[in-house]
Amino acid sequence: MAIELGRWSRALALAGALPATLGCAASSGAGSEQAPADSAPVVPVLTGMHRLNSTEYNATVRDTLGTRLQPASSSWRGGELGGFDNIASQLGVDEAQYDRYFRAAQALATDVMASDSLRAAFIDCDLAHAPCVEASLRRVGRRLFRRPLEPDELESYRRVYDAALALGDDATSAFQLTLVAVLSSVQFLYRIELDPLPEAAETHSLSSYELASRLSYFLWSSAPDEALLDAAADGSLLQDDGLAAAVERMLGPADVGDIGAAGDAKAWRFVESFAGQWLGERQVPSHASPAWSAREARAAAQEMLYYFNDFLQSERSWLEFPTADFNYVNGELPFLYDMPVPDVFGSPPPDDWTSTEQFRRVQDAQDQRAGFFGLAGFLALTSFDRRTSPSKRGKWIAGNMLCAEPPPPAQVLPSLETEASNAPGLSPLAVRQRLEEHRKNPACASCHALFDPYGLAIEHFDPIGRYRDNYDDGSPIDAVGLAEISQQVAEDPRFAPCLAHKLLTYALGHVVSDADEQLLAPIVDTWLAPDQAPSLRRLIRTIVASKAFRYRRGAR
Amino acid sequence: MKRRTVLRAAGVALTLPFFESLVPRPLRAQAVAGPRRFLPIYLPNGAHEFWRPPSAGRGDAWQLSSILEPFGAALKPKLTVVSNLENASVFSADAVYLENSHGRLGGAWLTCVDAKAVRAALGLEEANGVSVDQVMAAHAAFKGISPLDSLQLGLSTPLGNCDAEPCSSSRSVSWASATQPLYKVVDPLEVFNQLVSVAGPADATSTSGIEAQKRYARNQSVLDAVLENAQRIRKRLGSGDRPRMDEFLDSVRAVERKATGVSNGMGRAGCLAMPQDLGSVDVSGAPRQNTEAYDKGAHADAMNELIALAFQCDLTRIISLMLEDERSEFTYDHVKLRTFTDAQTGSVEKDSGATCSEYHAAQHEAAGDDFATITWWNVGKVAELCQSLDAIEESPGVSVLDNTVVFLGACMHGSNHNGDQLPVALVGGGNLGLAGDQHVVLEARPLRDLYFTLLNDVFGLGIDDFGQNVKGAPPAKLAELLKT
Repeated sequence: MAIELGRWSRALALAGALPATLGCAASSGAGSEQAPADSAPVVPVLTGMHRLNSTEYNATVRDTLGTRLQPASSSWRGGELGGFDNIASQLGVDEAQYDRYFRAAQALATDVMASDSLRAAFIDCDLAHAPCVEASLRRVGRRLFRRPLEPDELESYRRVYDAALALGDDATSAFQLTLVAVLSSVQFLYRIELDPLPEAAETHSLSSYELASRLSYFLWSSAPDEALLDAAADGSLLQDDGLAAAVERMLGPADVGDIGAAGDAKAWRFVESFAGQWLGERQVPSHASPAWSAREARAAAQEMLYYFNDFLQSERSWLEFPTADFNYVNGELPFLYDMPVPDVFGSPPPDDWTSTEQFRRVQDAQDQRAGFFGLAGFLALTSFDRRTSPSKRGKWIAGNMLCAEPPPPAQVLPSLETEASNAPGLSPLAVRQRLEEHRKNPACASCHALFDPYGLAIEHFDPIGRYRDNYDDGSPIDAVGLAEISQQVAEDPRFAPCLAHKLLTYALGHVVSDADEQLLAPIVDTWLAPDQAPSLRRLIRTIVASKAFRYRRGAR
Repeated sequence: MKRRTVLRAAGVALTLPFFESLVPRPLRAQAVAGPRRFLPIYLPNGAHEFWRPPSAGRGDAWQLSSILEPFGAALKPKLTVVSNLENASVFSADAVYLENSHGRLGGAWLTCVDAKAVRAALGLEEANGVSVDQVMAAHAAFKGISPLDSLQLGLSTPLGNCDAEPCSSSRSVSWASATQPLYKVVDPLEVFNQLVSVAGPADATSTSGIEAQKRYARNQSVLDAVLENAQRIRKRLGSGDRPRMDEFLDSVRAVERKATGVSNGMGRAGCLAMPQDLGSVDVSGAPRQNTEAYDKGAHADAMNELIALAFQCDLTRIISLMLEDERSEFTYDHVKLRTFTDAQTGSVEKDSGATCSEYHAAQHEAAGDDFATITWWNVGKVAELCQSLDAIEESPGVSVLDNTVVFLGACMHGSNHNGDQLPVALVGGGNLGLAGDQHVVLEARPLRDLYFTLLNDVFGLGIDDFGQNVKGAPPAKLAELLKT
């Protein structure tokens, strides 16, 4: 496509060259071949008791108990910071939430004990024999507490069992009550990492079981499976190669070909939880518009995840994220994209191909669309429901892709959005002109100049991501173009470090701040060392191998 | 063993007849002293300009505005609209606009404290001041008087943007302590279960039933193990982690009181009737608009009914209700757009049949009627709640509403994100000293003056200070609101 070099190209170039003074800092050592010395001192973040969030709770009970019950819902108490809902500091508990846990524990225990097959995973002997109760409890404890039970713990749950027998319960009911106790315990509901001494603040490595939990909640949003617990038990997880092998196993093999059906794998939870939040998949709005009902919105949102997953399931360079020319479409999206019926739906396509729910990877090199910023989900996410908002799109790109969240307006400013909404008689062109006026105000310009150009460059895409040459009123669109801006973002020195920032935040459940730069910089340096492509998988490997991930320190 | 015995005895002692023993000592001379209740209701995203009644004064001197029209002539005598309260002086001596306004102003709505400053001072990622409803709930006039000291409810969908603040600032208005946001319950069924669990069985004899005793004993055994293990781990935690563990322990103990029959036995369940269709309000899917499974109107109706029940049965005297989270992005496509022309002539549904857009976007669209219609719809649900509270007679000629201060307000003005000229309406409280039937237009006064007045002159709690003011002005009484 022809790229129009509008008057914003210079501003763009400027924006790209700006030092990263906002948000997360770019690594000065990007591209360095030198891996950080292993002895480099790092101060791990303070990670406190970490309550399972609703996603993690449901995944954990499914994986550990085999139940189909998913008790946690969006109405359970959550908490978010820095764009993620797994931040330890935000996950407090209160009476109402503990009441939900207590009720859920009863429902789960009932469900498990009522099923022969679920029960058999823990109880393979006759509970009438005392050693069987203990052996079964040990099995339950290892899975649910993600480590072996300590003697005192075993004793306390044993007492619950005995108390139930004393009340006249049979062995199965008594074990069910014991399971309620385990599922209501702090050791199950929280991930708790301990220091050698309560008041010790020294940096030390995690225990193998603590590391297994960090890893599995990072990549699976769930508890370690048997294999991971075994690797913790025999200590192999504490070895570099053992840890790396665990990561590869948990993510699944790279380059598996058609990954459209990856949705069943546990690693898909990482896609849903990390990318779903960071890329805004959960926030894609649906409008009353017939071209953008809940179905289209859902499909476009899902495509964002599949697009991200393509990078997770390959060693493709992350730097291609803004520019890669492929889409994932189900039957809903080709129409929106004005795309010929893709071959992947069959040749010739069946009559009902538009109701195909499965997503297929397609490539169309002829259209004007490529890269993440060409996805309908992104374009709708960053629009108002009746018009595009260059500021909203630009601010999203700067904040989420470059970690350059602009500082908030500092004083009373006329709000652009209030003045220049789609009031009757105000054309989109007028919006653009108002935006320019807004930017002429020096107080506004300093910020808007940083992000508006990204949004203005992609005005060719309407509020639901359809390509257009003109605004609704017929006025022509004058925009730099998607390809140009995507390339600009990919080459921005802040782009790759921004992923590392977001991913480390998610991995640790702690919002990485300026003070944590000493943790982030070595990770970025190692990841971007030019011996291999800087893939998403490589970054995950780098983070997991880092001291930031494998060490902790206590809070005095 | 000993503890259980004592607690069971306490449970028996708590079996009290309805009302008589529970009415607090009159704090001010009243003709008929009833329970004193507080119901702050949070309207997100400010209110449309047509909220403000065009004229000030009492009685016939003022009329309902177009947005407040749902209160109707019947409730107007019990309504006070207060204009020109501001909460910006919590943050700044001069600016009324601040970012990140949704999160920061939302967090300060009931606390009048800059949460960001508290977080910085405490070195925590989540903190705020104690909210006015919780100052009340902790006071001897309320604490332990009813089965629940307070209740936090909401109709929100939890997917709004938190404006770069901790989400607790946008999603909780009640804070029990600097570090304890009280999350609201949004599931009506869960609210009902909570009410039933504290109301106790209608038939007092069944509490002593063998099955009930066994159930309590089982729960006790489970929670004993939970507490024992948590306390053992607590000893191995550094001081930084102990507050979090203490929060856990407190929550377990609170559940323990109900699960083991200690806190119930007040025998009020006979007062509770399961509202219709409670279970059909499915809030589990984090709806962003009405769907086949989710109906916002039904959700609001169910919650209104539960609030009326909780008050009628005196299960609590303090409820905070969030109509939505701050910066809500719920799509109001279940509400037909109305035409609003000004603040006084009311509104009519548009012939086009068009529906409202997404809340936060609508707030910013100065033109168009979406914002006004959404504000009007939410006010309508509050008006319905007030009507049902007013329909419950508590003593001759005195309704539940007369013994309740309903405070409907927002944390910001409207589409401009400013922290001044806040929408504030008080409904009811006539038996507690509120004059009613007036539109009070103040010279800009801090919002905390309203709370100060409620705390001391309406609820008689003797509180010296509340909230912050960077300008240094001490809190002062709003005598205009009170009966003379």
